[in-house]
Amino acid sequence: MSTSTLAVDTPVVEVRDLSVAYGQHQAVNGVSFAVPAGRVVAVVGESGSGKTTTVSALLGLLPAAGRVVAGSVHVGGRDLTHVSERERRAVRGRVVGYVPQDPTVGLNPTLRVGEQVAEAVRRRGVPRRSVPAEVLEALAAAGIDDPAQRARQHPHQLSGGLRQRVLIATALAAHPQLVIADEPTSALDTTVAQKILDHLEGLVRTSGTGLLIITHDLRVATDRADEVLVMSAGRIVERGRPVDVLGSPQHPYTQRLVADAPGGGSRSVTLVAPAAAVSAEAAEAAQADDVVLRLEGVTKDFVVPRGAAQRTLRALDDVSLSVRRGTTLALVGESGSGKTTALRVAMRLEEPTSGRVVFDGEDITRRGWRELRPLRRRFQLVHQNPFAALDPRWDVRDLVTEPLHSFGIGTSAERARAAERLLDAVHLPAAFADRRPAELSGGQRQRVAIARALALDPELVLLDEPVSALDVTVQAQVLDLLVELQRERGLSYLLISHDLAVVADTSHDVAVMSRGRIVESGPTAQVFADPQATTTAELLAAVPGQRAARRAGAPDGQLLAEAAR
Amino acid sequence: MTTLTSPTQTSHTTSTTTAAADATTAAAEPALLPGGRRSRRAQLLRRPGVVVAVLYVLLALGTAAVPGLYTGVDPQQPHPADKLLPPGGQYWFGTDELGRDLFARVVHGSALTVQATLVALAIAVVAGLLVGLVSGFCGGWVDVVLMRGVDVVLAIPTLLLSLTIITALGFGTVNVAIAVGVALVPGFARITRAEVLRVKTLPYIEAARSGGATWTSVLRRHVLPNTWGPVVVLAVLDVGTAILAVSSLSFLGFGAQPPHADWGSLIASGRTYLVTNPWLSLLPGLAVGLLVLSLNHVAKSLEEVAR
Amino acid sequence: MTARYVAGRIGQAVVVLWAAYTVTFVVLYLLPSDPVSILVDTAGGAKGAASAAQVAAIKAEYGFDRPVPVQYVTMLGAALTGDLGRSVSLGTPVSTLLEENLPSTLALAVVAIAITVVAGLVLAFVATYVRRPWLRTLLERVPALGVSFPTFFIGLLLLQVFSFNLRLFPATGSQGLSSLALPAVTMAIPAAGMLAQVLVRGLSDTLGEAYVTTAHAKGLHRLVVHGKHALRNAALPALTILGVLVGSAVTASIVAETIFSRAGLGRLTQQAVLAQDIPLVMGIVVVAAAAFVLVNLVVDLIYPLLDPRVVVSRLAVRAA
Repeated sequence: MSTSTLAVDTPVVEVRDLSVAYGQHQAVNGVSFAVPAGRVVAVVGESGSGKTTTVSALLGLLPAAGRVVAGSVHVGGRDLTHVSERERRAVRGRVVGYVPQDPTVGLNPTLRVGEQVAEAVRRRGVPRRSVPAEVLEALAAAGIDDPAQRARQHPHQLSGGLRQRVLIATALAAHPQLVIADEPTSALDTTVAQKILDHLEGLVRTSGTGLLIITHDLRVATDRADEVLVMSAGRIVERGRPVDVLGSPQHPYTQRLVADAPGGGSRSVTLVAPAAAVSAEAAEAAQADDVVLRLEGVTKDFVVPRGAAQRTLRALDDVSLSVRRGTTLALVGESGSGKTTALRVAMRLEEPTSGRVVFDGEDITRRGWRELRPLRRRFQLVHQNPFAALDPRWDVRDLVTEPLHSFGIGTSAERARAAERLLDAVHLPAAFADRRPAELSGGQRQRVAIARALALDPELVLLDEPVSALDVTVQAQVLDLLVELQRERGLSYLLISHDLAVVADTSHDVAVMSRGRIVESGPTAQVFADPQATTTAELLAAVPGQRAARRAGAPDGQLLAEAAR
Repeated sequence: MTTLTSPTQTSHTTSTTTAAADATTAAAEPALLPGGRRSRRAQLLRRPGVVVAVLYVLLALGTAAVPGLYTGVDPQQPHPADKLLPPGGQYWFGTDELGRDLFARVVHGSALTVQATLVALAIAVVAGLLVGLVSGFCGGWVDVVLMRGVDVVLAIPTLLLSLTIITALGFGTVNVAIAVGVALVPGFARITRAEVLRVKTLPYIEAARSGGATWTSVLRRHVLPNTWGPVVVLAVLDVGTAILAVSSLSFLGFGAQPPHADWGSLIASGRTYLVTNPWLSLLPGLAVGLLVLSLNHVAKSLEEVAR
Repeated sequence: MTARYVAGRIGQAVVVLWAAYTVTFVVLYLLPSDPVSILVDTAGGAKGAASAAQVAAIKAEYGFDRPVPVQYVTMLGAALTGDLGRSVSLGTPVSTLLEENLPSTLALAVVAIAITVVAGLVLAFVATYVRRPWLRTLLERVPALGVSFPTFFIGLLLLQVFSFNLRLFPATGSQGLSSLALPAVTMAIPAAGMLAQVLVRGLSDTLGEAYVTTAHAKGLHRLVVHGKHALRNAALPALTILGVLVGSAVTASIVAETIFSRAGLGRLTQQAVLAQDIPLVMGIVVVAAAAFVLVNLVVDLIYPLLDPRVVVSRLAVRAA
């Protein structure tokens, strides 16, 4: 493998034929790349592809079990693989700055923000007196308003976005020659992540620092990098300019990544476009007036205890929406916009403060659990997190047939046969019936959760961020499954998502929420092509992968509207 | 050194490739954790320390069930010619001031101590589980009342609470068992409640409820089985605590009354001869210490494997 | 907000103390089928020897001829003024006995706790800091020894080795610092073991946290990362355990003082229970519970200073 073709300047970091092993297991295999000063390089790969191990090697922080088997890591001219811990430490912070993955856990909760930045400032040997001023400067440079006040605060008093900025300030405070950003966006809302990445990129480009972005999201990588490296199973399988990687991926793995990126590529949209996705019969039934679920003017207040005085927080404010039979209504918005509350009210897991919930013409707003129970058979829920939604002690057979058991349907032999049918419907082999959740992957678990929701043959399924916890390629498979099930069974979906790309692929209608209100709604293609509300426009602009499209001359949302059409 | 990559994450790599090669069927997706509970047990038994500990615990439990299997000697029988003999061939642990066989006395003393411990633990687990389940599951004022009660009992140091109960009930092995058991109830009540509260909010409970399951079936089929784990670990850990409490109380003179002797009272009566015949106290003490050490080791390994 | 927190916690402590008094009253005066006979036996020596007149006198002195609620209120009222009744076996007022015995136990407890904190902290820090796996495993196992062997066994072992064999410390007595050493170490070994276990676990967990990686990535020295970032967070759960250990010092002193024949609250407790001296046991429990509640109150008040998140969340929990 050759070194980077883009290396024009002297590289800050040069990795040559690096191989790292944990015992027998080879985590990184002959990886070579370089990051020149002032350039942005992105490494794309799924969890377990070896990208995080590569970063550990760059920082000289390989876990005790990890061993560099071959190759070298040159940082600032020194080979880190054969030096003492002392010399490795000299490199950390000073030469290579690190922005960790999750800002909510990346800062020490018991130390003030200022002190944590100061630790990095002091690494430069700044005189004691000028440390506080330099800390404020670093915080301000990372785009933090009122740095003097923030410096005195503790991490828990800051939002996720602010904490990420503090971490960026920390990484840059020691004036490193290279910054490594490890999955810089995965823990944040897309709009926040977008702003922060813009900022980081700006800082890096103006100061001549190199930037290495580690991500599982091809769209994030292609948006910002000068060079994209695709990693799989410890090897770099493809490298090149973003335009080339996106436009003509060579390696099958990259091709799949490009194809699977929701809304971003060549994924077969005919499968999901309303006319084709829904069978003729269901499409006919999908009249505007045939509504399965309707929320009418639903308002939900939460009481927030604040010392003696109680404060109410309005989570939902006069929300009305309707799900047409056989179609998908997507409810989108930032976290905290109230979309999950809306779903929980629709599911009657949460009592609305006012307004009505109407299921198939029946007002179920004031029904108790017992009176609602017969109707429960007709609408089911799929949770966001497939890891917690399955009882770890049960096997798959019992899991998928639990609703049948609850309603006393069938003998145990009949239920076992039902389990087989359900597994088949979600494309899991019958042999999986004996497995427990711990023995399944994330995607498989979500399939089991979907199978359970289908056990009672419902008409409506409420999907709460059904793929957000999954890897990109697995996301695509699960979404395909959902679309297929809808077509076969004429299901109606209420889909909650923050990812507009997911929505574009699957939904007939979309409702955009902001601060508890629905700010815009309509057919997906129409809303995405011509967004009226600012929230919609912002959400659309924040979808990664747009900048590559923009370079090609397409306006925001165009690609998504395309996909939804 | 810190770990950026966890070993599980990396061991995942090979299987991801398989998935990449054949992504059309969901079955090709990798499982995150190979093996379930069966492999856990195998994992435990592969540790030599655990095996030794388990064997010693079984040995001690055996003395409680059938002390006659270990020694045919009557622990009460004095041998006037063989007073205060050091450990040796005929008397493995030596003899006491009346010439009684110390090994036989330790074996039979173990029976008393282990039985008292088991009674204490039974009281603690049953009462604690009941209080914790009701408290966590019902919530509201029931929870408040029960948990304030538990807090109050916790405000009295454990051993002191046991002593108070003994003062009221009088001395003897059974009373010591009751006193220790009652003092352990709050711990079990708390952990059960915490587990119930944790499990209660998990999405699979919500999934079961929206799937039409009744609260009683949720309690029986989901909550109780998933609450067990930590309670069992605490029970194993607390066997050690209970043994220490039981033998401390009898060491202080509140347990088995002469001529019967459990471990604590054996050690106490040997104190008089500590200068000249230290084994009289130290050998029974070693027996207790090793048992508690073994139990703690088993509990700790259980917890490590369960994590 | 902070004043509210402090006031709230103090109020809670008072309520808990009152409730503990009540529980003890119930156990000691209502649980026995016949507390009078226990008292009579204790006061009059051998069973059955007490005359009818003695029984009547005792009944009158302890108020057993009155209804239970009246007895309770009278006793509680007296206790609030410092009158904890009169010891049956010794004939002295309980408060006098407590005053006499408290200082020696207090001295013992202070020394023991000092040893506990230093030993527990050092052991846990070193055990998680060393990098050789075998040494680490070895050091991590040490605390388990401390918590597994009964206190009285440890005491007897120390007595055997340091007093009888090496003749370094006196075997018994209450005079001077050297007589404090062995009982204090006896009390400290199990406590330090428990503290070290909690700290080792806390440190191991904390060292896996992302902010520790952040700290390493800044290029800080391992010692700084370990001591400043990890220990501070790991110390929080350990602080609670330490509170419990300090609060239980009276209980821990029972065995230590008995073994080393030291005068003090612990030894007094052992004698009181052995004589089934109900008023004296009651007095001791009240004092011990007060110490326990006080220490835990202090811990709760220190906690927010170490963990800035606590006040907010605790208040939220209480209000919810």
